[in-house]
Amino acid sequence: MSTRYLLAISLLLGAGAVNAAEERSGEQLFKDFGCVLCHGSTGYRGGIGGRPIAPMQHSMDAFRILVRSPGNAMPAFAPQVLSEEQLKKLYQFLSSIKPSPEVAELPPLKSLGAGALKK
Amino acid sequence: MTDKDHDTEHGRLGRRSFLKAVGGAAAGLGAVGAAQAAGAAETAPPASPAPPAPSALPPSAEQESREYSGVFSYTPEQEKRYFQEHPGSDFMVDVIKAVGIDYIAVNPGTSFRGLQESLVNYGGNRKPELITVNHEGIGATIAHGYFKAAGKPMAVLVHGAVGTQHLPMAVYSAWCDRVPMIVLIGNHNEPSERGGPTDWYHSAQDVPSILRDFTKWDDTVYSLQQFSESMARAYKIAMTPPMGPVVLAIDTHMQEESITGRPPRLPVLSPTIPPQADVNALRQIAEWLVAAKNPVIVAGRVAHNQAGIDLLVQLAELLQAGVVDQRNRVNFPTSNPLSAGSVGQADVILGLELTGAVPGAGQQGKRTVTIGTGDLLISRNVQDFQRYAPVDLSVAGDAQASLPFLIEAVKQRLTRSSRNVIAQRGKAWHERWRQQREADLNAMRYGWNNSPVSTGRLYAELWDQIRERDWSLVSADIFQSSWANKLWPIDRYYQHNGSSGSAGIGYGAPAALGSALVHKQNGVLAVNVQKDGDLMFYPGTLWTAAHHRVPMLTIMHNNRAYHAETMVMQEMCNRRRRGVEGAARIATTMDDPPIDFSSVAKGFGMWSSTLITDPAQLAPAIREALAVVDSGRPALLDVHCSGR
Repeated sequence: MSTRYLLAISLLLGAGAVNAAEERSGEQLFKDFGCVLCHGSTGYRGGIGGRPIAPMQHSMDAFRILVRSPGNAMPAFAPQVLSEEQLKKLYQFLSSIKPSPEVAELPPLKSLGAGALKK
Repeated sequence: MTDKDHDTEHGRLGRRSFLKAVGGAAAGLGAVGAAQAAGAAETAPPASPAPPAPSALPPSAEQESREYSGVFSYTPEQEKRYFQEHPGSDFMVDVIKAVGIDYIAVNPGTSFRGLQESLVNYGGNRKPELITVNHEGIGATIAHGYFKAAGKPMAVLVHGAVGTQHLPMAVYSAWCDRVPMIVLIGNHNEPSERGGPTDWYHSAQDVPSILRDFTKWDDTVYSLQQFSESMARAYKIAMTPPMGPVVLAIDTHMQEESITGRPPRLPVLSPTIPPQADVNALRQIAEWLVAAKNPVIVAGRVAHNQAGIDLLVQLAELLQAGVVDQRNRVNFPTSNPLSAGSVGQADVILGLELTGAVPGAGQQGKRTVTIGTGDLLISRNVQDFQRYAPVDLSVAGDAQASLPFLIEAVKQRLTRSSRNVIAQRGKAWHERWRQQREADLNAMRYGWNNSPVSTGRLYAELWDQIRERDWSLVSADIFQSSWANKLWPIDRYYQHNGSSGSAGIGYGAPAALGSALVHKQNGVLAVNVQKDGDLMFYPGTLWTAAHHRVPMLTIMHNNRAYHAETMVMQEMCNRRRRGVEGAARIATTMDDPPIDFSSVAKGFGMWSSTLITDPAQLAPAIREALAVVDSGRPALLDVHCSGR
């Protein structure tokens, strides 16, 4: 089935609905929904000013509010666009991000002065 | 039928036919003749009586030359008809050499065949050397990047209306980025000299008009003397701030005609001294800067060279003023703590060579002043001038040229008490800079072991292997979270190219190559972190790099999408609360099929790795690629990367 046909059906149904058979991972959704542009590929910081969202410091309920009604330059993700299931996957992905080994232990970062900067 | 054939047909041997016949006969005797010669040399008696001498021996080279001269010399009429002495385009090469053009990017075309031949045979294809490109846009963008490293323009030679129509986006970027280049357009200006339908298709009545909205000056040239003067004028105009591209349409007929009569004169190039801002205005600015509690400098395209950076450092350190470098050029060293500038708490903002709005301008409690040449070069059509900037004082003048006077004016106004305040200010910027670096280093380690490879790791691994060398990042890093500008010590003018100026796509690879051409001469390692979508505009750039043996390390930031557009498409979906699955990825991604850049590079004759997906493979692959670059060839590493 062509993409154009899928698009037409979705619009006719009036839902613009998110595919119920969602198989994309939270990481893929993070990329597909364009989150990486502002928040960076690992959620820490992006190139154009998004706030750090990893490691996750919010509850799922707070995260839902931040995504559905951000109140800043971020576009609001309504349930019609980002389903509750997808929202949970995103939350799980962002919660899973952990810092990699300590800065000072990584030689390439050390050469950028990481060791010297640590207090 | 030729005269020679005609003679043979009628039973009369032409001279060449006769000699051929004799030669054939002589060949049968050749062995004998050779033996005779050998025997004579050894003075041995002949084994048998010598045969009679041949009636006709093959002619010696001297004889042949003497005998042929009658056949292959031309009558004066033939000489005049077939051949040319003193072609006009030879003089054009002298002019191009006289103004100091070292390279000309070219995709061949008949409208400049005269000049092309002269550049190669008369000029020796050296200073200027022709750089072969597969698209005129590549050529102009190479010129863009070349200027950023060389500090002087190169030329682009294009073919009439058709070649010129491939140029606009590349020339527009140069215009927006205040980059000079000289565009030479071969054109059959004179209709009566056009050979046939193709010449008409490829000609235009006013061919520079295709580029006129975003070039500083153009001229249509019909005579060699005009070319001489217009070339010098073009160079001066292009290089006088605000710098920009210029165009000369050079008549095809003029190139191909011989010089007769009084010879044209070579130009004397006298560079124009950039304009300094009004001294009274500079004194007023110095007054405000010294009296300010927290002055901040915002730098656009300030530095023309290392001296510009040094001057800005001098001013900033005198005032301990934070500097916001917009990184269109290297204006200020990233390793200087004052580079952590921000206009947030500023009470006086000095904008230098900014385009459009000044950050913080118009806010309560902030006095804003600008020095720049922007108002001296305004387009009537394209809107690169940006939003009108309301400022307290706007001074026309080249910022770099104005800095020495401003620095002296500031020095004269500093007192002992003001120096104490200033010193405290400096400590605050230093602490801010330290904190920023620490935060950025922490950010870099997130996703360190991820696949696709994180851009943070890519820049860290790359730095680890080039830091002991003399290097230049010949690409912009804004789409890779600006890692280099955040963490690498970019302190020298040539160490970073900056962006296209127009925020357009297609600039990356050719601009990197243009800079690498310069760095090749200076032994500087050129490193290009190349966006995948950007390369797809001008992939032929890789062939030019391979063809001209330009040593450059290209690392693909292969994220398989135009990610910025994914985001804005998603924004639309959100606003309208609808979206089929992956709506934002339709027409914004390049992952089906994924592009095999390694094969693309190899196909163009460039060394390349296999696709790198495991971050642990990155360091050894960079090492291997650098060895190729050290051997004088370009190399490409295809790295499957995270989005940013």
